[in-house]
Amino acid sequence: MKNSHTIQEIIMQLNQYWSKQGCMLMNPYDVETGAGTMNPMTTLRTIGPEEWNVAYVEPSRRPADGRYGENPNRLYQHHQYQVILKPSPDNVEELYLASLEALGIDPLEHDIRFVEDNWEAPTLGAWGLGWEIWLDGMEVTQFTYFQQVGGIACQPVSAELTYGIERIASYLQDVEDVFDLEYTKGVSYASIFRQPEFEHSKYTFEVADTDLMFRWFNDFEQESGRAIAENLVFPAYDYVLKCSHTFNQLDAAGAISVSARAAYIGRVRVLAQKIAKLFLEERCKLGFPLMKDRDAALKWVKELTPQN
Amino acid sequence: MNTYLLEIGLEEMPAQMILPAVEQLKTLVNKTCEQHQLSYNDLHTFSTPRRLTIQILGLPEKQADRSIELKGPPAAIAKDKDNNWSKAAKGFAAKNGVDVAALEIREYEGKDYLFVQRMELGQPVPELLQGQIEQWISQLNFPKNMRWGSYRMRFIRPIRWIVSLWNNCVVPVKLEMVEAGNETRGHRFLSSGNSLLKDAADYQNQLEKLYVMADFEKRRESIVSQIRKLEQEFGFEVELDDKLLTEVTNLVEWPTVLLGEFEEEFLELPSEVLVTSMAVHQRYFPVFRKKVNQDSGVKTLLPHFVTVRNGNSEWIDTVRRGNAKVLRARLSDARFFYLDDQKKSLENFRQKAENVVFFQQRGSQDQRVLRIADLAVFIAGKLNLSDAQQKHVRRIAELSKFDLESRLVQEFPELQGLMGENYARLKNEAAVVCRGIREHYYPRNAKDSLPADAESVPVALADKLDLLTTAFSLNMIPSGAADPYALRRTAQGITQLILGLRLPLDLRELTSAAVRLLDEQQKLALERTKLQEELLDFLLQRQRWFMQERGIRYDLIDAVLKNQTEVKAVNGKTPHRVLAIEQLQYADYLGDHLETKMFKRSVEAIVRAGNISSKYPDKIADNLVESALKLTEEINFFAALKPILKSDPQTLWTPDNYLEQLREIEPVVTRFFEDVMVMDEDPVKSGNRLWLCQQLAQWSGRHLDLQSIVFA
Repeated sequence: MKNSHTIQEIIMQLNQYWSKQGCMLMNPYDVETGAGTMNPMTTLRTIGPEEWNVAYVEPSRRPADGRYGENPNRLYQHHQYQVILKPSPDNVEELYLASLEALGIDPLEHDIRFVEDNWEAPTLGAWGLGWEIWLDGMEVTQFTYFQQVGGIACQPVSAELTYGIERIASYLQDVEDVFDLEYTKGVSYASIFRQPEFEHSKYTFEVADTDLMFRWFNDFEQESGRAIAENLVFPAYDYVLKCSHTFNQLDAAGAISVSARAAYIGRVRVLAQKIAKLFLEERCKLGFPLMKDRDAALKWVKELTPQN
Repeated sequence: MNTYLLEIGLEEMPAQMILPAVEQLKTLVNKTCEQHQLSYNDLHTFSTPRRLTIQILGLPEKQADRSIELKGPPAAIAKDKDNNWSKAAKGFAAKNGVDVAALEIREYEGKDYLFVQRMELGQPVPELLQGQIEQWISQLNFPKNMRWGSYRMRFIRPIRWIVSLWNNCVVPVKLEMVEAGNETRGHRFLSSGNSLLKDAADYQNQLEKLYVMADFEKRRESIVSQIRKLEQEFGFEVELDDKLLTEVTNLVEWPTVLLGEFEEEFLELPSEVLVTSMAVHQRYFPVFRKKVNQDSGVKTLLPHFVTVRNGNSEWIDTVRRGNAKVLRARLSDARFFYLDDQKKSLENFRQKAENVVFFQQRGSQDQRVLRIADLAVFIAGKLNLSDAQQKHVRRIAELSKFDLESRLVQEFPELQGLMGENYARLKNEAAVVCRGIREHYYPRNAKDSLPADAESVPVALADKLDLLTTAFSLNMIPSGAADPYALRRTAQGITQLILGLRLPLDLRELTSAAVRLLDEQQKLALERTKLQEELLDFLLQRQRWFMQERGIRYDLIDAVLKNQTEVKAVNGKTPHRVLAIEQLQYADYLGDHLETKMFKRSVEAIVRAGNISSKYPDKIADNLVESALKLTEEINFFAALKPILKSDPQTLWTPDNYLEQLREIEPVVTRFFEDVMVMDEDPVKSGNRLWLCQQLAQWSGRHLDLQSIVFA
């Protein structure tokens, strides 16, 4: 393989590639997220008519996948490389495949497949259709055309590309164990992440005060509701993220029964849907400033502004 | 002759939707051709993950000219009083572009009308097709559609190109997102960019040059023959599951089969875990040792897998290593869970189940298991299983759900039951109990096998009945397409078990027990009768479905099912309630033995007897006054009725005896109705005659509702 493939280089290569395709390079969010999708750069910005092309890394927390840093494939926190293209361009598949080539993955030397996989995020009231992309049998990317977010139909439709950074790196570096990856020359993944993996797992499964977390969930939910009442989209959404993470912690700790689960998910979804609606209204009040075609923006404003 | 070709180019479609889609396209094109009286020699379809193609061969240049007849205004207003063509007639002629001289007057449904014959010139075929293409595309139906970009259209996946060719000319069509042309795309990696299609008739060859095997069957054949070659070379056997083979065929455009390996130590895992990891998660074909001894049904897995690459054989080693690595990671995970699960006792699992809610307000999974156990033992009693067997039944039920709490099943939900069997065996449970844990899920669908052991059957029934009862008690009754808990399939399973295994069980007793157990355990104060009726009604619908699937005539199904709802007491005794298996037996027998003439007369006679006796309920004698029987016809009737009167109303006659009895009594009853006036001035006489009629009708009604039977 032609390129060098430390994790850091993979991220840089993807940054360079997607920046060239006109994406803005953004940063991970500063509230805990379970996936790049949860970052408001995706969740909120895929709603409404404005163009939006971004790429960013998202450290993603999955408490239930914590394995004390002992499992070669599963992590409490892994890293996603997230790309949003809105509206999805006609050549989006070709753009994606070229990004693999930019990483030094020559499609002629591998088997690359698009295998149906439909995505759904019940806490966000969101779903889409698309594929897992298989590289020689390994799922390396999730490719989704967003159809609905926060219960609102996506118009236009965004394409979301979520690369599993550790997956791709372990393929390119040809290692069996994620902890053997090289983050950058001379620095192993283990030396950086083994400790937090162990500690987060121990905390989640053995130490976390679940009574406290149940209270937090209620508090965050309430605070989100207060922010919604004041039309404050982004603060309200931050508390949704906090609810969602708290729920994930409780769920991983086994503190939530199967049927209670559905109720908690429903509570988060109710908030997410209100926020989605509010976001659209607020962007509309601002005249959809990110739309380059101003006539089209005005048309949208007219269409979406309630008639008295 | 001419060829038309339409290729719809798409982003990768879900594998299982490709063949149905291209079938639909074929139907739509056929319909167009029929509608427009277009003849062709042949219709070919092609399909890959990225294209749906139809090729119509041997089309004429032009649609045939045809004469059509048009109806105009009534003749009454066609001429004026001077016998000249009226304004209406002239208008009709002008509208159709003919001279008034061409108008004819002809009768239509008893009235005279103006008619005109007109030659309709055949349209050039490309023009005609051009008008249809967009509709064909938009009429394709998919279970789940999507939108993409800023377009309004909804389709299975984004449409990226369209080829529309009449021989070598483009038949232009413009969709919102793409204009049809003569440029196709070949294999995503082995060919590059867009390629010109020169000739509609030569589609398959041209695509072959672009590394696309467009014909599904050909692609499938290629995979099979490559696998057979491997089998010969290595002397093993590859299991070619048909569904998997079809799916894999629809994941690739240029298939190259490759053989991979995994570490032998993983063979310690239960073979189902290995097969699921390979076949379900990775779409690999598992490899087995060639059977030396044909008698032993057990297949031995080998540490290999076969997979199909979408590409050629260049760099195949890289692809092989990559796939092996993925499988290794999956199997390591599975082994970790498998070993971890074994450290726990069955009691551990049960304790976990205490904390798992089954349905809100309906207790834990553990409580559900207790209900299943009680219900299963109740059913086992009804089936006359021995005490020893009943003990096993209870044990199967107690262990029926423990594996749901195991880590392996949580990782591989499709292995529920199988892992339970495996773990129970490791804990030295009796063999029949281990099998029962797996078998109690049977049948999982309409084509699934039924439990082999008698001990599994009561648990299989109890599991399904309890799910149904619990859901219904929460008012989750499926309506329309929505059936999130698969309750229809569950009820269907109950029907399959009872009718498939010929179980002499009374659904009324079963549902009543299920409702009672739930109500008592959860202290719900349910409206038991209402719930039970809802359950019975639902189960009866499934029974109807089962009989229809078996090819039984609708009217016979009605005839056997209806009697159940109309059970009346006979002579103070509750008559025997007809069991589902008896209904099936009757329906089968009647279907085979419907000697129409005799049967028709019997039905008429018995229906008449039933009608008249229910018309005068007050006039029927309580008991027959034998001394008042004077007429030969009534005496004969009474004599012929004797076997019926002597029979126990609790027992159902076998269908052959029932038909035999009909055959004997029919002439007597027919004669009776011909020669005797039932109603007489003497109430004793009327009472007697009505009594005879009533006895006959009630006896027959216990077996069948004859009124439902339709005669041609």
